[in-house]
Amino acid sequence: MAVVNSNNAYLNWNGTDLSAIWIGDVGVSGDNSSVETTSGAGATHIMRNTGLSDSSFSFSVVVDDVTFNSYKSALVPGTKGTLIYGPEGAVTGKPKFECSMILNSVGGANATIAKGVHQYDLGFEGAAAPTATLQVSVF
Amino acid sequence: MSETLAIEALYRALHVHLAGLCGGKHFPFIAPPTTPTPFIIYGFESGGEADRRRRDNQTLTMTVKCIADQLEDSLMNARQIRDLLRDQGDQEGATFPPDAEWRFTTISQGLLVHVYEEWEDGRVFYHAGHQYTFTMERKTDG
Repeated sequence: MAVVNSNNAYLNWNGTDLSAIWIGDVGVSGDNSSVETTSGAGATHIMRNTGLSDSSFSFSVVVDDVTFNSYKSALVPGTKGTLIYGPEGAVTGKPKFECSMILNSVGGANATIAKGVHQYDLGFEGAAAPTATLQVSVF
Repeated sequence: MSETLAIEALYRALHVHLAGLCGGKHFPFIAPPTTPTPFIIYGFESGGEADRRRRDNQTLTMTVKCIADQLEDSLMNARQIRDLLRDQGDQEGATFPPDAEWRFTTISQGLLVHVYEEWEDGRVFYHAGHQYTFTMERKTDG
């Protein structure tokens, strides 16, 4: 079985397809903060239960001088929208992540004297429970 | 018709852009044996797919140098090559010839190339130039 190609991801933020211009590593995580539930006299160990789950997401997009006007409005911090991610593209049957999220950090465009690319680094927080997760959902 | 390779586009553009130097005597890799000096040689050094984004993008490093029988001639032509190439991509000075399928976004001058050559018949030749790195990007998504 072949190793999966990581250069064919599908990324759609708030209705704008960013698949052609995303750059850098995509970071997606689901977290759950446990809650201490220790009880009973003489307890010697902490007891915990599951708490609320949360989702976060991050990725970077490059500044393309030809197409930048077509997607720059998607990079405004404070935007709330739907983020859809397919690490293997948006082909039927491939894993899918979809969640209402808030774009809460935008860094860039950074420049270097070494003629590097200009890019924006985006950070997202979940605004609701994901409607599709990579572990169980597909396009 | 199949898409043009990045290296094809680069050779084509260099052929056009260097035409005004050394009386038009410029050749890829090697000059014909009877070519009088000075003349210019350019050839591939390293590079290829850069994988910086999904669109086809390449970083190609070429040596571009003048060969002359006088040191000062070789250096003078190396200077003129530099003036034509260094920082002349379409996001810089923008004098490098455009290509129908490829953009030359940046052109960076790199290592100095400087060689002394002595032939068995007593003739001497001086090589002078630089390595130039061309950052290229296909104009359309492939």
